[in-house]
Amino acid sequence: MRFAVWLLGASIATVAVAVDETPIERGVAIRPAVVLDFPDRSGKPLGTLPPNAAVDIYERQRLWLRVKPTAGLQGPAGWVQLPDLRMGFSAPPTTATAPAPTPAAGGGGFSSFSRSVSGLLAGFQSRQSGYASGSNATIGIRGLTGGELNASSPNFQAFADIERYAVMPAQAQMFANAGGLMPQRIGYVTVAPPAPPSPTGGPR
Amino acid sequence: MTLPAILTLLVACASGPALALDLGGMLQNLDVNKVLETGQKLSAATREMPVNEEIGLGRDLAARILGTVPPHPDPAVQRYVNQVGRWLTLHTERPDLPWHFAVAGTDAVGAFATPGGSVIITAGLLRLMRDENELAGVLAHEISHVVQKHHVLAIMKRARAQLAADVAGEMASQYVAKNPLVTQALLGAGMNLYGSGLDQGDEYAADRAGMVIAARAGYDPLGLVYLLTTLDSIGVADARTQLLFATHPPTRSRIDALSAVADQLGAYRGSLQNSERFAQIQGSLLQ
Repeated sequence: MRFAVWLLGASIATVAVAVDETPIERGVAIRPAVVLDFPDRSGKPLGTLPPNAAVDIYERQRLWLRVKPTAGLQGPAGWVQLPDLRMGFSAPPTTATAPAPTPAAGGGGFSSFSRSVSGLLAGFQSRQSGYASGSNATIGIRGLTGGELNASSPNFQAFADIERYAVMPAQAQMFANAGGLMPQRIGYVTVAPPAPPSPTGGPR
Repeated sequence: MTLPAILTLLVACASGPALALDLGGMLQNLDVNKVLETGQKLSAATREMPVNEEIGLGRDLAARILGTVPPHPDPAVQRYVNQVGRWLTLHTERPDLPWHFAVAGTDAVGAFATPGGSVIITAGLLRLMRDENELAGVLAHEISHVVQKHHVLAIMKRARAQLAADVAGEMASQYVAKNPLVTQALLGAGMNLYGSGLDQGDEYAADRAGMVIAARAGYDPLGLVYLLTTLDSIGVADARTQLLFATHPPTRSRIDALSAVADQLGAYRGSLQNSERFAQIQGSLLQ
């Protein structure tokens, strides 16, 4: 059955992505991710990406991502739900030449489809660039700790410095207008309370 | 007499004509002045904090955070983040607070809100963002903490516990010469809070409310979700995210929770049209 799903996905794999498209980002499936032909739960299933499957991302529509297996790999192309992927990797230079595995190899199905996540991390550039090189304006490449905060002395001069940049509402309005930001009337979202325990009870 | 009853009595004693009360033999072995002083502290920390005190506490806490991570020196960066943030605050229930925003010049990845309207994000976090929608998502999350007074309430709760412990210690005649003022207790509780984190329920609540505030201001409500996917890809092993991940719910859980909330917001995607201004600011951070 799993192999049949793979065959279905592989046969339609090139439908959703044009050949000369450039990916905007890369991602890795963190759990089995159903690939659909349309960015909606009503879409037709094209296959399933297994955990750790590497994909190129070509488009984002709300919580849906249009993906295709990373160059050299096989699998279904189409739309997956954003929470099913770990993303944030820069668009790749597309030099990957990993051979396409056969469905039967490595345990069959998609088990050999995945590429090592470490390979993707090696391409984690773009927004992370400059991260490694640092900047004269920063205090070094390291994290903060609660202990540092607890031991800190107040810097009231620094606080006075940043207060100078506070803007008035009218200035903020002008900034919003320049960005095309249109206010909306939206109420806060309510969250349904947890379901009460079943009256029939369960394992205790 | 139970301990709560004793504490109640002490608070009443501190806030009323204390010397007129006859506590009988109960206080025979106690330093009455210390008990009264501690009771006054407890009383002060128990009442609801007025807005001006909230603002003052927040400024002190922000100054301490900036004592660890000083502001980034680029005025354009500071001005830009203030414009985005102030616009967002106009779509909350507390638009009249003295809001201001700062970028701390550190590679560490994090963001802080202090009571009364101070918000600090790090340059390290700003560098990871894709666009202004993601910046708005983070700022709206921090703004939500201020609007809902998450830090004020948590700090007062901690300070009350500390001060009550002082009273209990006094009752046992083992009072240690540790006698901070209420302000110091609040500041101490506050800085401790930034190291240990808010209640996870407050973080999820700020995620949800922030998503709505961003959408009200015309931004894509999913900006925070997209940024969280980036943070998720960095992982907990990176030292720059150490404090962020230690003080927030698991990133993957936040993504899943927000994705569920997104369905309730419909198909709204924001109206931001200017992507250049964010790119310019981010570019200046990388120089």
